Amino acid sequence: MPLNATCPACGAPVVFRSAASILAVCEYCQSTLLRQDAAVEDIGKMAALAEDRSPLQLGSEGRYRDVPFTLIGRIQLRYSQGLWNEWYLLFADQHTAWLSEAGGEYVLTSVQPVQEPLPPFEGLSAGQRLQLAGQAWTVTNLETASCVAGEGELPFKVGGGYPVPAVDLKNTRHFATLDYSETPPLLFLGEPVVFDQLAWTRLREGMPLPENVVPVRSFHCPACGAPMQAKSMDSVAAGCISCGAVIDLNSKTQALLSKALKPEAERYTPQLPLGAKGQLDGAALEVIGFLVRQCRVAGRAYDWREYLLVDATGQYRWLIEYDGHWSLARTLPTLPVELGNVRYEGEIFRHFQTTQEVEVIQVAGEFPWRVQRGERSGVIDYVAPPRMLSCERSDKDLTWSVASYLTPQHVAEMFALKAALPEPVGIHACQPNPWLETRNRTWSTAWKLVLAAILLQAVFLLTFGERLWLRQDFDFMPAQGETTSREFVLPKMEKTLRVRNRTSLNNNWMSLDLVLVNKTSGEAWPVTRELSFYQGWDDGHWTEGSASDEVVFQRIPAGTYYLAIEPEIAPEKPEPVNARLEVLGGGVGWSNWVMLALFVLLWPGFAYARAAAFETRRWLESDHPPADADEGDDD
Amino acid sequence: MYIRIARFASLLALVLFAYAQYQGWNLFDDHADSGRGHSGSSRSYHK
Repeated sequence: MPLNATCPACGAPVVFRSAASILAVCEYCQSTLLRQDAAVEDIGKMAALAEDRSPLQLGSEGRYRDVPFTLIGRIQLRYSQGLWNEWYLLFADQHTAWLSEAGGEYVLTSVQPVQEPLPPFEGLSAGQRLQLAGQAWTVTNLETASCVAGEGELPFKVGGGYPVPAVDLKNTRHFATLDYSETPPLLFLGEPVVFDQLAWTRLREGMPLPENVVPVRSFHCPACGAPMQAKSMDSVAAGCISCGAVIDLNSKTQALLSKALKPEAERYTPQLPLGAKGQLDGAALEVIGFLVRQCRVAGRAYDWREYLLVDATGQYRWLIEYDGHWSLARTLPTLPVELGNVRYEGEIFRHFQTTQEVEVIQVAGEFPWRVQRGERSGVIDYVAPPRMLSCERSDKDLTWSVASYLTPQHVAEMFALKAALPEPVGIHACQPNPWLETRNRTWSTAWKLVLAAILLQAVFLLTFGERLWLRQDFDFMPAQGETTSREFVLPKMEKTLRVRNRTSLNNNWMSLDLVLVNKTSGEAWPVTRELSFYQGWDDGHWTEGSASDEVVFQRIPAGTYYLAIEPEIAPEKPEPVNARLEVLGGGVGWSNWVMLALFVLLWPGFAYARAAAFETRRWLESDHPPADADEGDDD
Repeated sequence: MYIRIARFASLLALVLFAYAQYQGWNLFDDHADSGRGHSGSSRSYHK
């Protein structure tokens, strides 16, 4: 049952809608009212909330797993990297939960009683794995935040400056927070949620376009005096594009997080200007930050450029450019499965590279965390082109992100750039292999055509099988004159007529003058065949030549035929030779089929070789270069 | 483009294959009219 009360300070009505709420902030005079049975006690004024770009407000309504809920309270917290909101939810069935909102990411959790003792805050570190509430977890963030202010009704006492040490845990499906501001600490267990899937109503007026509700902060760089601005109230650091100094936006004196770059320092100019507006899948995006990161491998520096984009709902994306290759990245709300390689969304990502130390070397624009030059982290990359998973780890943070490859043309279209972006150099880790699809499609065509050729060949074998017209044995004697075969009749024209001759020739040679004669017309087709066959032993058995022979006559008309044969046996070895002579019509050979199969497979074979060469070049840049490349390097 | 060329060329090869098989052509056949000796054309023969 809701409790209706009156603010002791201003007399305004105050409603406690949840029985679990013990504190409410008067929305008229910001008095903090503590609930005591049916009465309320004014315990002082609540500090003012910092302006942010949240699309939510008290009274916003949504649905989670088909149960309606209302936002009835909020705690705003500040941590070293920026602001986050914890919204207190009251569901229609009177149970309560928390909706955590940070950088456009949302996580819904509720208190989970645990039997086992929770590990001490000081004993945890980013990347550490632990077992809790029957699940395996990885520590992804450790922070000691402080409460900025609260509003609405809340289940515990809060006030400005109230410290909140907290540890975030993630696994492949769930999210958890250990809240060390209470004794004993509390475990909040839940899962990431997608903003658009919560069926929101009564969102904050003016959202989701941030420029309509957030005033631009304009100021001058304390290092060089150049004009600067911050459009997002979430931003806590800004880099000067003129001198490279990085300013702490939370500092009233605009303290420097990083000094100006030295004049001789290499300085990159963003290819996408700060403030550039673009479209991604119909949603508006704006470039608000630019930073350059660098790593060193074997003494050689590699650097790449990252553009921070924010969309209309306050979600952040990264557009990363390396050697003209682009990729668009977003952080993952849950962890992928690690099994040597990594599985994410059903796809296996292969380990590509581990970079022990990546350093920020240039900062421009605004950022929702206290970025500074010299900030270091370790990065592990896994690829499944066109996507790449990256695990970035610092002392206090472990963040997974997924990036998708983009062509420069795609990026230019996104931001409607007038000038073309530079063409990419080399092959990027997650660049799609252009020959893979070609290989697969040509292979698909090839095997179908080979199958068709097999069927065709079967039809020809059944239709045009060999027909035997004559089989006759001869004994050829040395110095023998011409002899003739028996007559045979061709009932119709033969496109091919084969004369096959198998002899007993051994270590000898002979010549045969053959004439195919039409008995009726006298038309004749002469041919001379020479046969030689030698064999012996010389470090093994060897042979040379053949004792058999076949010759083909083409397009022989119907009629009665015989063969006139004049043998000549080698005079230096005048031995008799036995021969079996066959005359065959039709017949289907396999040589054409083999040639066709080779030709058809040539295309996918070439595409396969090109695809393999592309992959070799890709993996040359990785921690796992192909074995052949290693040998090449050794040479 | 490569895929189109591959498909066109392969289909053409299949048609050629079917025609060659129908005609009884065989790539490695030793033809009497293209072989050695005095072959090359028919002539009248009388015993």
